[in-house]
Amino acid sequence: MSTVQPLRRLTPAPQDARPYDMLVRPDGMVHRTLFTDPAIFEQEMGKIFGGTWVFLLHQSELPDPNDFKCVNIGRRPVIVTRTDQGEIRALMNRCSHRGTTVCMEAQGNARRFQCAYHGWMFSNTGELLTVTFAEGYGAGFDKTAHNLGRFPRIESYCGYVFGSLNPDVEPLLEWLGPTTEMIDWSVSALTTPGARVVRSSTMVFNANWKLQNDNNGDMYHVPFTHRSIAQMTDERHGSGKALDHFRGDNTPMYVKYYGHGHKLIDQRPSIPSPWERARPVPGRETYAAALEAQYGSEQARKYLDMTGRAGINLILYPNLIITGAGSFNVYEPVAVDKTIVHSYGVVLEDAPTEVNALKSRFLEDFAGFGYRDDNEIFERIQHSLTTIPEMEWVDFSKGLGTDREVTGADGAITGAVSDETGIRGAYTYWRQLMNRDVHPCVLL
Amino acid sequence: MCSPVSLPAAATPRSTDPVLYVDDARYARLWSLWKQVSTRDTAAQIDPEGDITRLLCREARLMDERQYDAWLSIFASECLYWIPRNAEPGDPRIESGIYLDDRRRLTDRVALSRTGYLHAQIPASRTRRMLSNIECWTLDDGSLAARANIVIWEHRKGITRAHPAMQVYEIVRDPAGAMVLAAKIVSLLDCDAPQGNYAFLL
Repeated sequence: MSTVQPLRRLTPAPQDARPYDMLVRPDGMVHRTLFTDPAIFEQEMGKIFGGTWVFLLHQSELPDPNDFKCVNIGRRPVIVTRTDQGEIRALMNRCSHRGTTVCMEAQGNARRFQCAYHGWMFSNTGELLTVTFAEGYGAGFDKTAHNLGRFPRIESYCGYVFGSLNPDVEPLLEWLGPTTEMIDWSVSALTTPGARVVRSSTMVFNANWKLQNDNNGDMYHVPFTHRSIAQMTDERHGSGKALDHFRGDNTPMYVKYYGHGHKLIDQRPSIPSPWERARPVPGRETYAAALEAQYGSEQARKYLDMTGRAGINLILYPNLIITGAGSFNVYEPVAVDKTIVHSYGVVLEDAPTEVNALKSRFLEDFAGFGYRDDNEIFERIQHSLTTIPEMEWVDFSKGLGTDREVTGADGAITGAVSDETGIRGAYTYWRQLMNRDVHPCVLL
Repeated sequence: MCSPVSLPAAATPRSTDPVLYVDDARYARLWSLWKQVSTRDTAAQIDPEGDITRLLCREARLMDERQYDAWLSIFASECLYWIPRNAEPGDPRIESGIYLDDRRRLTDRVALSRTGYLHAQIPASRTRRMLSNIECWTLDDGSLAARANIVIWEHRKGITRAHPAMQVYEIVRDPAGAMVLAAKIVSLLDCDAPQGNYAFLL
């Protein structure tokens, strides 16, 4: 860490003008304006994306000193850097002089960033190194007050790097709470020697970011929204390859709400072998045979089970979903009715090429055949919620008033797999964050 | 539950045969086709018989008409269909794409569109493909390749969009002597940008 600098607070957030308690009700009803009101969206960018921990990137995306990657955090353009010393920093991509975007490359390796407008030069720690034609600045000009703004808090767990603009945010481990049990399980694919995170699909849809966040914690929709892929798979490849493991609640799968907005769907109890269950991808027969010939059937099976989806959705509020096998998605809110989802997979540099060739094809599987129906549903919801003000409420009550929800010793609530337990929990956290008086700020 | 939809006359047949042609050599051939043809600047043989142009125009038209059985018959039995995610795609074994299909998965896409439950195509997109700048070459190994530009115009739910791309083709003769496509690569102009919710066959 550099020497301690005074915090420079932005203008304090205005007093809550909106009764958020009225918008998220204890009976599971959530008001439509959470998805449609641009003013609420603006508040979310401060109180949620500026007020709690948000996922920045996985550390393996910045393997070398001076690597950087540009991301958007609650719309703010941010350069995440690894400094000479190996420390990860998150810098606002905004020149401290007149506001120009400083870095236009999506990722790369650089010690310094020079603003294109008047040539100010910054180090990848954010420090202002050079002011051009400096003799024009008088004695009152404080160069140290003109660094790139940087996130006051950066912490990581198992390589997942989070940042916060709220200097008073709780420690990351406290915020993650009992979710670490699932992160520890899922992260093995990323901690395998030679693992490297790679970008896979990136998609945009015209709907609010929370609809995607809800949906990833929703198993109720699967037999209906994804009927096309289920029916195609049955027709083409026989039963046992599609969504047979979920035709109702009589399964060992479950949902879980961990607190702090974090939720889980665990399909693993019904998917003993990801490889057996997977739809055939290009190379299935040839590469399985090649792996068996080279490594024997037992090791080949281990490799093959690393190639597909692992059967969990762990959603860390607000913007990360870990799907296992090294894959994860990041939500990027763009506007109240526009969201980008970045998907990532993992290449195992030290594994046989056959494994990676199958992993690459699996990354195209549900992303190509399943996500589109989800996105269509989100856009239909967005349209109706926006255009029909007379119907105010969205219903997330499934599971309430039943004996299906059980609170564990760690405080996490487990529910039946089709219940809206996790989604409801996330809205409770949303209400808590939105009612909170927070002051997002940057270090200079 | 769902909007009423007309179900297809016939379901796409069950996939039973193993696919044995997708291996390192086939991937290398696909990537090599891209590297040789996407920026090729040697004098093109401008299709003297016109038969390549006819083939490529028919392929585009059958997609627009969603005549997918006829469309699939334009592809070799051991075909690959690739829509890379990067403007300069890397090794397709390491880099996932928007599509990288063998014949089996390409047929899966057709089957998906015929289930009647592909919500993202209710209503279905109407498309018109404008194909131009067709250039053809005989490559060093004697195989036939072509490159063309395309704009896929799409209309759905009151909105008309354009999807421009470059397409690269490998053309072979099937056992009956007809020209068919052994590979088709669609390099979308916006391939590395966030993709909209396009559920029609690109």
